[in-house]
Amino acid sequence: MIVSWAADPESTSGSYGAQEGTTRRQWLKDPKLGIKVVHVDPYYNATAQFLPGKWFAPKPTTSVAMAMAIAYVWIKEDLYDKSYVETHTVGFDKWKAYLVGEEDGIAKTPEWQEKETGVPAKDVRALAREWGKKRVYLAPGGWGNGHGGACRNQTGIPWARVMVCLVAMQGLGKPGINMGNLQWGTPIDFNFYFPGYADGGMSGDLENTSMPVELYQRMPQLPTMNSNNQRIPRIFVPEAILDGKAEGYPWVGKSIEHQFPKFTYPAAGHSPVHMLYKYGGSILSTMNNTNRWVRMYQSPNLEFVVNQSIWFEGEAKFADVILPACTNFERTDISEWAGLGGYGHHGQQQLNHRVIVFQAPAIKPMGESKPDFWIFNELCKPLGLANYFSEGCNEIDWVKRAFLASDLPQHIPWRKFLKRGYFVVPAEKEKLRAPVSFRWFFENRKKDVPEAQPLPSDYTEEYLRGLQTQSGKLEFECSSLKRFNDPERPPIVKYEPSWEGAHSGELFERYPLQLLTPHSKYSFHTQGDGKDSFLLNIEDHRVNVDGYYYWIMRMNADDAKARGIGKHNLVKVFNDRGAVICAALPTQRLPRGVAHGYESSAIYDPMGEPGKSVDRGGCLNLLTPERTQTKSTHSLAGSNSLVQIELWDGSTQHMSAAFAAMEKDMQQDKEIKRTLKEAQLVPAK
Amino acid sequence: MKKWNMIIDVAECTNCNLCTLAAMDEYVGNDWPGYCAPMPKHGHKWINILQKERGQLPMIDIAYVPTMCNHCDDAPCMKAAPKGAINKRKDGIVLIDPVKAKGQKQLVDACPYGHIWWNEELQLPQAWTFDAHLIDQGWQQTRGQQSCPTGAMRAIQAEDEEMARMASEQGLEVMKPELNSKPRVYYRNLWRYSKCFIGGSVSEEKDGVIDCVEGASVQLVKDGASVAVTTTDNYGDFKFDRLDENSGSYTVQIYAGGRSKLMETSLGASVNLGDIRL
Repeated sequence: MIVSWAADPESTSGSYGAQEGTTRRQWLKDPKLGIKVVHVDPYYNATAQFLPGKWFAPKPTTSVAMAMAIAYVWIKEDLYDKSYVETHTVGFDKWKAYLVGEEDGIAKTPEWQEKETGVPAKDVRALAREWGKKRVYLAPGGWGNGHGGACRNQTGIPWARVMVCLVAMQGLGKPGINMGNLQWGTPIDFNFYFPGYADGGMSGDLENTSMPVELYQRMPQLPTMNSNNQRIPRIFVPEAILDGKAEGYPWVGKSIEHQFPKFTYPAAGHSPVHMLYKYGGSILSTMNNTNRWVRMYQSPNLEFVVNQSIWFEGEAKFADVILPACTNFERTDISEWAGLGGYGHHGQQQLNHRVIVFQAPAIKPMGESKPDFWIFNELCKPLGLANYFSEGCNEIDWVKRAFLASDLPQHIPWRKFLKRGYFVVPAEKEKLRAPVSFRWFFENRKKDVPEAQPLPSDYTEEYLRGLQTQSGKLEFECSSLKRFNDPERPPIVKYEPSWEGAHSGELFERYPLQLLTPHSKYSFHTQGDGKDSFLLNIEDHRVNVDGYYYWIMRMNADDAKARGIGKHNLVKVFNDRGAVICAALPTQRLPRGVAHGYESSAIYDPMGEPGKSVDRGGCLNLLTPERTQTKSTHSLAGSNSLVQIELWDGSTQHMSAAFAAMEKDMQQDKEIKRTLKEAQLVPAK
Repeated sequence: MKKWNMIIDVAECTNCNLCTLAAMDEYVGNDWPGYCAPMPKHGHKWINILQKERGQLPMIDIAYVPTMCNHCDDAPCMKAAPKGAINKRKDGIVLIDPVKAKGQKQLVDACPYGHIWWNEELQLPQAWTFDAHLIDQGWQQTRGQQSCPTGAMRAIQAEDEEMARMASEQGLEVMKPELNSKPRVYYRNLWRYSKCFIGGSVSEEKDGVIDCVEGASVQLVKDGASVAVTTTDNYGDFKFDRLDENSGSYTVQIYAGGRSKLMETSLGASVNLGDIRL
């Protein structure tokens, strides 16, 4: 059986994987295999549509409780692998004590979870029993081992942890017991090298890319180094500009310990930010509570903004100077599909074949647009840095250098590659294929799968023995969190209701709908959406109402009916943070109290003064919380927010919280001035 | 002679819309003289995916049905098209002549499937050509088929008799068969769209605990006669599918452990009877 939990690979495509995983998941429909699929997701998602099975619809942010109830049933009915837990995990007894109620007096029963999730206790018990008796692949998140899904709401951290706890109780690595959703893990040739997008390319950046791991040795180039050591957490860039300070925690892929040191802005001895050079315009719809950015862009604290963009959309319009970049169809480049480099190890394994493409320009750059390389080179000229930047090479020279740095020349000559335009990397010989993930761990062998982590120094006992955790085992009680002492992340995973949900009191009364904002099905981030593209014609993406293509807002049919909302009626989706006009789609795919609209609209279209009016472009991230899941992590929590939805009355004014505070300050300022004036005490200029 | 047909499997369509987009990619801004004039960028869906949600949460399913010009053998549009504005080729493909059909807006209404689209700019009725310009270059697949990740769409070249045999053996259906327009686009698993179900979940209370009832025997009765029998799964769920919409009243009889329960329902569209406590 496969339990798909907050996983919708048919919509999210892994990452960049298009429909490659679809063909593999289709195997599951073969009745001869007899593999059942169960779906846990508040939204009856595209994967549930494709692979029919029992659907559980917990309210957003609550499925941590459902998972705990499953573990509780396993404990009570002896449905887990005790010897595996004994030999391959640490801290189970502490977690068990919490589940059965020895710690807080609350047993985490199926009945207990029902109050939180809305999923009937009987159904959870039936799932726990079936799961406990079968070999189950757990498919959490977009990749089947995390990334997206419930990871990105307020309870994302305990959700990720409890998913691992469940699979640890059943014996991760035993035949048939693993994590995945047939999105990642294809047996393609990883010994063939081609630089991925985070391998540094022509940047010479040995510090902030994975260039030193492989590319630098193959493609020596002038190193570059940033003399400034200052960082701002991306989610708090507006606070850094507007309030002059921000703090955060890094995400570093090297080891667990790298996540814990705090950094602050401004960094000691550094200058504050004066200028923002922004590439692209996607932030307003891809970060959270983005009216903060709208305000930041209008603030005198930010003296100068450059935006280098292909499209005149999103935040590009807030820039002082816009440098129009041409598309990749109008310039020369070389790339590999889903080749992430150091950003996500072996990202190509979501594909069925590795494909490397020579990107010849199809047309000349349109209008005044220029290739990025040209733009940066021109900027370097007056700085006296152009020769160092280009190293005397033009675009095609750099393409050739990347070609020569890769393993392509062993298979295809340069000229032939240019002529053919692509190269499909041959499959690895079957005997060279990587074995099943975690089987080595289950069988107490040395690690035998091609993964970068743990780093050699990160093994606890012996190189290649044990996991990346500090005990080397699966940890119900987390060693690093025992040292870190974080009240928001106790060493054992516990259920703490979301700070933006049914327990939010007055906020929940005003905004009684939980809005899910997952990655979009038909576009990727802001790519493909807007731009007068074909995607506008897909009714589940946008719909034309009175000549304007509105973003789709799905809501429970009864919730819609109670508000007098019908199919494709224009609705105002709002909370204190902002208001977005969408076209409604009443459906049975959502339980009551839950709405669903994709994030990442490319269009930001305020119908009045930005920040003080409704947006009809569909930027739902104007409504989502910027608060991180915990204070001590870089962990966005914005895929669930509380909103209200009502039929749109056509009014365009809506004061966002980001501006309301400023308005209040200005009002107070005015009042003080008036009082002073009335008292004839106006200060001299 | 072998003619072109299309077989679409409703159970495999995921609504990815790649076929719709491939058709736009092929026809928007491209003129194929002798076949068709360019498709407008917006407003036309030469391949249009219908959808249907069945049931009530949490027992629901969703079917997607790609539709297009059916290339009917007895095409109603041809009868409404004077001066040879619409022609049937020997290989079964129906083409609207992009020159002769100019101005003939009445053809839009002549198609009972809603698949002739009016191009306001060119004053031309248009439809999906079965990618005839590619077929004539030797293509064995249409663009939509080529882009379909699940193989839900398959163009087949077959003698009419062979196709009729395949349709009957494999239970393939056409849209609106009552019109007798003889479409060349066939559907597999169309019941996922056209039929409906009665379902529910059986549970019981024992020692103060409510649990799902597995293995309960459930009988569907209509007009006193048994229509179907099934048993509940481990979630207590049962489902009688492929029933006709608006087919009137049914009785659901549930037996488990010596207990029984009767449920009456009148079937319009699919219905989930919800939690049924024994």
